[in-house]
Amino acid sequence: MQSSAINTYPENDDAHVIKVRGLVNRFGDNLVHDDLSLDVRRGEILGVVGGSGTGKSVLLRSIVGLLKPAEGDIRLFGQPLQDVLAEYESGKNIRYGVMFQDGALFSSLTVRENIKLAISEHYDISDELLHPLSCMKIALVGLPAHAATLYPASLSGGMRKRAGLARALAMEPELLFLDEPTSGLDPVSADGIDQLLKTLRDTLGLTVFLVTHDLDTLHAICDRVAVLAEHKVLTVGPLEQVAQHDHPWVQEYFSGPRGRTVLSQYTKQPLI
Amino acid sequence: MTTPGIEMSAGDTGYEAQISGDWTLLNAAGLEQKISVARKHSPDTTGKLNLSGLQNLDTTGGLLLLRLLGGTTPDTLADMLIGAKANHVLLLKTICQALQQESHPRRPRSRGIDMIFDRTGRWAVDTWMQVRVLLHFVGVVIVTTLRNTLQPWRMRWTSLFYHIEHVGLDAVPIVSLLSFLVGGVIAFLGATILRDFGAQIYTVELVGYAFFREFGVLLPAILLAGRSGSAFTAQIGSMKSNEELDALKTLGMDPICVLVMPRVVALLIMLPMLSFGSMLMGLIGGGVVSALILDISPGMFITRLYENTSITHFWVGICKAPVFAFMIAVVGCLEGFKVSGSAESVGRHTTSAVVQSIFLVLVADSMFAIFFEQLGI
Repeated sequence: MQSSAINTYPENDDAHVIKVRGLVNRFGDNLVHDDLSLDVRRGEILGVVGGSGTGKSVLLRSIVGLLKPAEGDIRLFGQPLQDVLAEYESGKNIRYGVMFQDGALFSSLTVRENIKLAISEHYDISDELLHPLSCMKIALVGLPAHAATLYPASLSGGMRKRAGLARALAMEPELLFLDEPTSGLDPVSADGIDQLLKTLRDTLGLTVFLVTHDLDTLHAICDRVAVLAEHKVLTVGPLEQVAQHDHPWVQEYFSGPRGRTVLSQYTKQPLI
Repeated sequence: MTTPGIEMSAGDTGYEAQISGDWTLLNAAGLEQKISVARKHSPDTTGKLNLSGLQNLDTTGGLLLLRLLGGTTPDTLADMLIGAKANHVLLLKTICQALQQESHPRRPRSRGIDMIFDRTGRWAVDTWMQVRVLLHFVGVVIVTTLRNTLQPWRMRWTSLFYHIEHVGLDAVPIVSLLSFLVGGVIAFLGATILRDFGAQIYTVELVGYAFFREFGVLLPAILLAGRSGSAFTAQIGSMKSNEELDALKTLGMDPICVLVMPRVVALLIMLPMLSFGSMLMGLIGGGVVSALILDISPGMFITRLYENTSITHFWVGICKAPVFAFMIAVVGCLEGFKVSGSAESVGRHTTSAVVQSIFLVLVADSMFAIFFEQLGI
């Protein structure tokens, strides 16, 4: 399964949903990215890892246009980012969804209203359909039905993450950005999120850009892993290939006690 | 992008619906109608979907397809689909499973006369609870304060002086300016009205009485309610929503002692001082206007004030200051403790703190007025 999605799409330019070239980001004197380049293929789940402060979230924010990079060229769906953002401003053709680290739910709205907000803003859909639609999204991300009427303040951290995911999925995006979707979740919930992402990818052909620290997630669902270090993408590739990289951080990350456990499972299991 | 469509035809086991085009969120509005039309025209209640013409499908489209199909379970779903692609079947199954979970009923809303009773009742109970909470908090603060006066080494001196500076010293310019202006305005008023009686000289008494008895305390109290009461709520409230108060408790520190005490004591010390300053500035404002408009020289103003205004008026005014200070501080802190969860709640309680403390100050002031009137002071 690890590479099924990749194989179904040809290696042409059209297959790259995200193309980043020569990205430079700096805050004052602090250089975050220096000439960073990254490609994300259509239909794949890319895991982005890196130590604290290597600019994983900054990269995500640059790609979705929340942060204007100092230099560099970013293309989404083959279009320059500015064009995609211009379409966003007109409210049509919303093609990507973002799930923020702590959900970033609107605190004055219930979970259901959070999900419905963008749909009813941009589409003329009756409440008759909107109600079951929001129920379905809530159930899809594994939230209990009664969570629909709760306000974000009364949700647990894990529930907030799920609700954030449901909201990111509300506009039926082709491309999903996730900032640490499984951090702070119990292993069972984290597995649930992993499975959901995999199902969505397999059924909807979703492309997923995933910032994570979770080695289990990397192993379970990521087709490719990108390691951020030294201001750029150090290496990209399937997990077992990336784990061989001789950069000290990579070695420490994958051969620490947690890394070893996951990788040993990985080698024992046959590649489906 | 292709327009979606449904074509119904009668088969041996119920209808067979030919599905075509893109079933996506973009087309959802039109599809809803098409589905209701299709269902109306089909005599059969059950049937199958022919998905061979289906192109793009997302979760919204999936939900619509399942609605068209009526009740299905994930197990029987596969039998009802003809010519479906594997990923479409998988998606429909996932959605079907999600829908299997009990769906949450919409909460019935009470309407009309019911709603009036409902809301009035809730409001009454809520207000009663608020009053009880306030009284409880006042009690706790008083007990803690008394206990701490016996053990002065437990007072947080740094924190106390920090608040004295922010609550008192930093408020001096604005309180002074405001009092000066109001003093001038009162002198103007006096001049306009008293001139008709040839009694301009009584402007001195007017300004003196007004500032000693009322404005000298009310002005800084209202300013501090807006300036410091709200700050207390916001500070404590954001700590509450960040679980810092719980953290304090787990570290064996009493939030009342650590957070509330210094604020209450700082206000108790500073409001009387600010009131004194406010009285001075009000008199100066009145004096300046008198000198400019009424030809009452500053010397005469002072002499007249000294001879005709008893010191009792000053004591009547200044004795109210600690009471107001206590109210403002307690309401500000209590509203901070009431914050729950979100940042929005901090904002709501900050507003509520200002409104409540100004209300309480004015009510208390009128009660003082009646009290002193009865005593004949």
